[in-house]
Amino acid sequence: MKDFDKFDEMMRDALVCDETPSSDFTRRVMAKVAATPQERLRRQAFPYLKVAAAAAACLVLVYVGTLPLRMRMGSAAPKNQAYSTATTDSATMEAAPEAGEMPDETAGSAEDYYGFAADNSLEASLREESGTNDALITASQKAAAIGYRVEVSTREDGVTVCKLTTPAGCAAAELWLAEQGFADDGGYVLHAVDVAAMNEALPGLSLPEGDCVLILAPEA
Amino acid sequence: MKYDEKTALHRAQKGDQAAFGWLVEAYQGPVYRLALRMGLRPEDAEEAAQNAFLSAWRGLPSFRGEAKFSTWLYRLASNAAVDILRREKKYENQSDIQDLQQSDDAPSPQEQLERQDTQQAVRQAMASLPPEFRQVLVLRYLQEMSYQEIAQTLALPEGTVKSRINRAKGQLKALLAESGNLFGGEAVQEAGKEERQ
Repeated sequence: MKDFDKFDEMMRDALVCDETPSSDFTRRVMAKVAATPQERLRRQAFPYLKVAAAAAACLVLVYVGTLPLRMRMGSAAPKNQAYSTATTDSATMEAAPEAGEMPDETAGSAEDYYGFAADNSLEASLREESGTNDALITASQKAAAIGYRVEVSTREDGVTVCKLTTPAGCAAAELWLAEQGFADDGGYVLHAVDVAAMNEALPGLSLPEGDCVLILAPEA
Repeated sequence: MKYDEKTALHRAQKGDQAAFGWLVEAYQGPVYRLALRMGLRPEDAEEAAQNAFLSAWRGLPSFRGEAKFSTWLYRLASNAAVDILRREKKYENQSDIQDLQQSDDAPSPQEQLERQDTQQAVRQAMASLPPEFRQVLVLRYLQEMSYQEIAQTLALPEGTVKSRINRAKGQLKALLAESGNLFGGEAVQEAGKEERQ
């Protein structure tokens, strides 16, 4: 602090003090500390979230990509058999659907046809793959409930980036950040305590609590 | 039990309350003074200090030591003080900021009176500034932190800290000049220059 000028000296002089808190301050703080649990050390969850998200995308692609094939395989035997018994009826043969088309009502329900029950098995399998995925699902659901969409990614330098978007912008979050003295420098650098405080300040918001760069943007 | 800071921190992170008590003892003065100089009354400054220590206790397990413990603690304390300043209506248009006892090197009675007047005027002018401005000024002049340390403490870019301090000083100088408590008019012009820069 060598660059203090006269004004700086005046400031120092005005601010210096040797006041101390009351004598029972430590006792009062420690009484509260005794009743306050420490936050559990959080696992570094974001790489797992990324893996879970990638796995989910792969599962969806595989599922969609193999749908026609599985439809053909599932319908081949009964349809071929049906057509072979109908070869004498040329009118029926012409009207018969091509293999690969959806079977009609008489061929059984869609569930039976595709060989699995419609039981949200995709989400269930995701949850099984990574318990930490629950945090992202919860965060996204809660954020969606108050009009935000949350995207979590990891930058090349390993920094976690949380992107909050809404159609109309993120006024409440921006206001809170400004009130805390955060400046928008292409994003807001938040430590775990800030994220926790923000989640607390904006009811319903539940960003994954860890150090991150937060980007607020209106939905494209 | 006797600790050094590193040991106390390490133990407190693992839930040792006695070790945390040592940290509270060690830092209660600076943390309390920081809150006090941000314009809080003594009872509120104690509340801000207490909130800062409780936040530190809760968050200690995830404190990774990338910054100094004191830096982290001052951030919690200054944020707690800002929270109270915003929450309490009594701090709106505040002008009767606490006049605290000063340690003097026995100047003459006349000098002492003038000095006390100036100190009081600076503190009153500071009380008119937004909490974010007080925050950076207190860290700069009371804690004597560098721009880099303030940036680290408040998790702000260094450029933002510099501009915030310049703007705060500019406003402060203007307020002091208005009330006739600034040494000559040239300082106000300097403040204007700094702001333009």
